[in-house]
Amino acid sequence: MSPEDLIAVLPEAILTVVATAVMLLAAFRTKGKEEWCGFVTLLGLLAAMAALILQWPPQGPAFDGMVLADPFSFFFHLLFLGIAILIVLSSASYLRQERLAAGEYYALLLFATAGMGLMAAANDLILSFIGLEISSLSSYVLVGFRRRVAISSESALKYFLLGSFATAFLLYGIALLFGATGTTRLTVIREVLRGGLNPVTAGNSTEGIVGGSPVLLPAAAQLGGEVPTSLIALAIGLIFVGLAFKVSAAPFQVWTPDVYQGAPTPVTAFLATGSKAAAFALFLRVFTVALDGAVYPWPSLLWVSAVLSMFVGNLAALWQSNMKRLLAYSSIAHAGYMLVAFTANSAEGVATVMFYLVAYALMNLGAFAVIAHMGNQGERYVAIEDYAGLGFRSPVLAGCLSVCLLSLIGIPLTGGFLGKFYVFRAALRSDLLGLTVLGVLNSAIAAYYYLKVLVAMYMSEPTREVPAPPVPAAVACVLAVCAGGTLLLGIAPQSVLNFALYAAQWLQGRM
Amino acid sequence: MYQLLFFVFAGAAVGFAINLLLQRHPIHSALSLIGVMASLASLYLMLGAEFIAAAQIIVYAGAIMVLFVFVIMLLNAGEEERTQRSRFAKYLGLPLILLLVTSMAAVIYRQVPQDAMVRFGDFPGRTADIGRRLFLNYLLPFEVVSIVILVAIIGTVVLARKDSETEGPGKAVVSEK
Repeated sequence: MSPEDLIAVLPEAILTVVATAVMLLAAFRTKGKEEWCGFVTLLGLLAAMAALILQWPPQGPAFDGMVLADPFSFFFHLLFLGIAILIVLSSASYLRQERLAAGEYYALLLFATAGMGLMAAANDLILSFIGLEISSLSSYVLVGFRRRVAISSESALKYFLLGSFATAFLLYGIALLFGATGTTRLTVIREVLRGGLNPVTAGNSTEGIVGGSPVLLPAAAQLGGEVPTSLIALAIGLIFVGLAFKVSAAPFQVWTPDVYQGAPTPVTAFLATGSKAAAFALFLRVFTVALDGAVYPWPSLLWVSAVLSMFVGNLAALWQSNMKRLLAYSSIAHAGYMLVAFTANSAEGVATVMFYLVAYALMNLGAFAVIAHMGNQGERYVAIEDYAGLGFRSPVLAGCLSVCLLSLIGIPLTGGFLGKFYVFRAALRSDLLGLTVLGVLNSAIAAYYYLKVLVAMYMSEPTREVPAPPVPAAVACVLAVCAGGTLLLGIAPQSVLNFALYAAQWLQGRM
Repeated sequence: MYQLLFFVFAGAAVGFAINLLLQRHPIHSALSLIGVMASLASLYLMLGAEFIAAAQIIVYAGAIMVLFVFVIMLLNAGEEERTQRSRFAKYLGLPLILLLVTSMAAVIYRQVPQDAMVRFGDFPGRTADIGRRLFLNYLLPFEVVSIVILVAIIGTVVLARKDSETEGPGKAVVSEK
């Protein structure tokens, strides 16, 4: 193991060590341990961010090509760590209020972040899968963290059962892909499928799964060097099922509203932003690198899923009265918008998905921070009518929520608007006119239910007494970052977009 | 001979799996699961993967099944209650599953060449090969798996322990009796 190898996984290593330290701290300290755990967690996340700087300039492969420390992974690491920091800041008061065990909560959050980092950096399906499992297992537990609340346990069980089922599909797809190409290394799969590399030698080379002799002959080799097309199509389908579940794209979205509603609100925010971004990172890497669109027509699969997600999410959200459920359906719809850009199947499309994930993370974290704060003890006030008159009672809180909601609608001068704009531009440039029309139509439908919340906040009288506790400093900080970031992305998107474009080109070109 | 053995064990695996679902008593289901595991182990052995076959027996048929049976006995689980299944699952579930399985079988049957049989040592299935690969090429994933296990342990403790306000470390021991 060379120093470069170590640097490539240093952020994950730091996160894991800090997670263990946080648990030990929680076990030994009796007084004020919540504050200490939160503080150490924050320090760990910042340290991981600092370790990330060592990865610049991008060095490429480490661990014999098992891990790629490329700009793509750099971008997603920054995003995950940023999301985790905001989640930790908005969790502190929530944990105290609900009297949850802080040590394990923060430890699981850190482990989940480490798993996501591996998903973004892995160049081998085996490592991607293990990263996915780490982040999924941690999320299952985090969802069920309010053990005294029945709905939380119920949603954790639902998430666990459906999630394991989806993971099984993904794993079967990976196995079939390995059977067809003889390797699990993404970049090698790409070469094999393009016909540039003989599957036998791919299996034989040190990069393939079967280093050295004797050789395991993949199906491709036994068909006389021909790539088994329908076997790979089957593998693509199964992998798609597993990943579409994780990004909550239709028709695999059924779990989303129940899980988002039952989970503790900061965890919901983490699922909607972090887990979704990680799943998209893996999605992009597998589909645009290994299953290069030039060879396989998977974009048509994504086309169907994108349209379904947008319509199912937006139409179902129209009837919701619970804020968390509303944002759950909105999250399905937004997965649909991102799939639109993904369907475009170009470097620009990939960069757009990455930009959209950043904008979406900021606006969603802000909205969920307000919901967590407003919910009060036991999350009693999460209905839309509880927000009635909020604009007059606490104007700042309502203002931040408004910025986030306006961005979710896609009003100009917000990150959400530019995200949608780039999505449709990428789709149009790839001649996806029908998909673009359906997408724009959906943005119009979506405006209705976000406006419903805005109308409640500014134009209706409160129907019942909703307490308005003072906003803790940490939550105020989160709100400032989210609202400010959303506006900043809407005004000056260039730096983020350019970096995303650079990462996407690296992803597609340098393989 | 090879084909005969294959169909015996494959048939046994499917038969035990169906039996597992049909049995109403958890302990009968658990016993069927042992049958499934053992049949699968024989199939692995026939594919020349002796390490996986042994691991299957030791880990699944041995350790995990003992755990299952323990849990069933501890919980004193009775007969399973059948809930009113959803109509969607009742009428569409089975046909859809059959459709998926047959289409997968058709693709694999068409595209994977039907080799007569796999001889031992045809590909790296020996324990030494697997060990070398695990600790050289796949060192990183191997190490990272330990985090998965750690997360699982923490998860169980978090979800299963009693409320922390009401108990100290001493009381947990008493409550076990």
